[in-house]
Amino acid sequence: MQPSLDKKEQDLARWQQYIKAIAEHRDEQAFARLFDDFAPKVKAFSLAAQPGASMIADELVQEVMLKIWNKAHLYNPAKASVTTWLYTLARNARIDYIRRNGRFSSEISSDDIYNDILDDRLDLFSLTQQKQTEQLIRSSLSELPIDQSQVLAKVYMEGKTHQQTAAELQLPLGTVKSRVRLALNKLEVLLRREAK
Amino acid sequence: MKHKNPHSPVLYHPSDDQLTEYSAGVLAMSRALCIATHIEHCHSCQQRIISLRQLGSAQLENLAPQKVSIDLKNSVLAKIKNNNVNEASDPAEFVKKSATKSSNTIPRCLTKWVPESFEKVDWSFVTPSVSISELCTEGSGAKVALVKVKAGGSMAHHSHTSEEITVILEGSFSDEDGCYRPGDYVFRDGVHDHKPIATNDQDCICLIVMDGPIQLTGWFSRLLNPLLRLNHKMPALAGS
Repeated sequence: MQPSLDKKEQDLARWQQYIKAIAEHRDEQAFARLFDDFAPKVKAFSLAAQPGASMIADELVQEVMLKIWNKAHLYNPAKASVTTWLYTLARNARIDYIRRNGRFSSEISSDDIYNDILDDRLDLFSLTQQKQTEQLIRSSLSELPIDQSQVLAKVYMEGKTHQQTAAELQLPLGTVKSRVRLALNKLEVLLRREAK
Repeated sequence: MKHKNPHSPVLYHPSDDQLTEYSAGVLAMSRALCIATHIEHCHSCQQRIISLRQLGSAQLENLAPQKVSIDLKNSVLAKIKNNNVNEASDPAEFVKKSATKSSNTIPRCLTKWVPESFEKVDWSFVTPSVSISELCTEGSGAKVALVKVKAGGSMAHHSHTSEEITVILEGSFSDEDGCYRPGDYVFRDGVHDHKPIATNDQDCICLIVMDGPIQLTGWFSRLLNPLLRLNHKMPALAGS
């Protein structure tokens, strides 16, 4: 069951207040409330990639929540929505966790790559466009056909490549890619490249 | 994948599939580094990635939460009591750095390995035309390196057994398929033989990620720098 859009808006406004309080006043109560709301999401996000790995999920929760505490002053509501900022922290932490192990080990960390360069360069026009994209995605995501939302979940929530998704769903790679593209078209995520 | 756009200085981009995987954080780090390098030059890919990232955040908003233990909560709350220092990251400093960035400065994502300039990089000789500086090797065996080709010089005739990504940093080169300039992102599968030639005006410096061993054909193989052979099992060369 998806929360209504109004409830979502309320949640987001509240989270924004919590982060502001953490940034400006080191408000531990605000942090505790944000923890109650967001930590279970992080846990779910970790378990989506590594089902059953409860200890790893707890470690990720701790890491992400501490990052929020330490980076709250860097969050700029004008540049990104609060869930985008939180998602980025969770995604990067999960990348780095997986990166520390075996075959996927790398000297390159998520900080090297996802270094906020995107958010610092947005002009007003682009920001407006991005806000529109965000609204559209939020309102239309739950209306996607199941075969499309399923592959999106594999890629974004479970952290699988198109290839891995194809293997798990026992589909041709081309089918997975086209389902993703159909979803992106419906959500109008990738517009034509602008002439610049 | 080519997007022909006469107005954009950057002509060659990662595919949308790769941008999707990048935004979801599922690409190998070496590949993600190539995309990060490309987008420092490419506004339209930046926009695409920002939009794609929103797919991730929207899904996270809808993700069914999983219960977190009270012990974990208390543990985290205890940790923040001891830690009141904001992470050292001064937004003002970064803005200053960005403002002075020109097209010839080091991409931000490469400054860990190239803090100052390409001149100061520790280059290793491969051929009279080609120098290489290995940045790192992944757990998967993929290699990340800078390659410098002298003005007018060519990379040896070479084919390779698996995928390779090149992002031009300075200068330009061309091969049978096109002419590539700073910011261009060039993906090659393992199938084709190609011979990139740097244009005559200046040295060409690129970021390269190679998944598999480079198999040099022709007499260049005798000059092969041991650096390239490191960790790559070299197949027996025909005729050698």
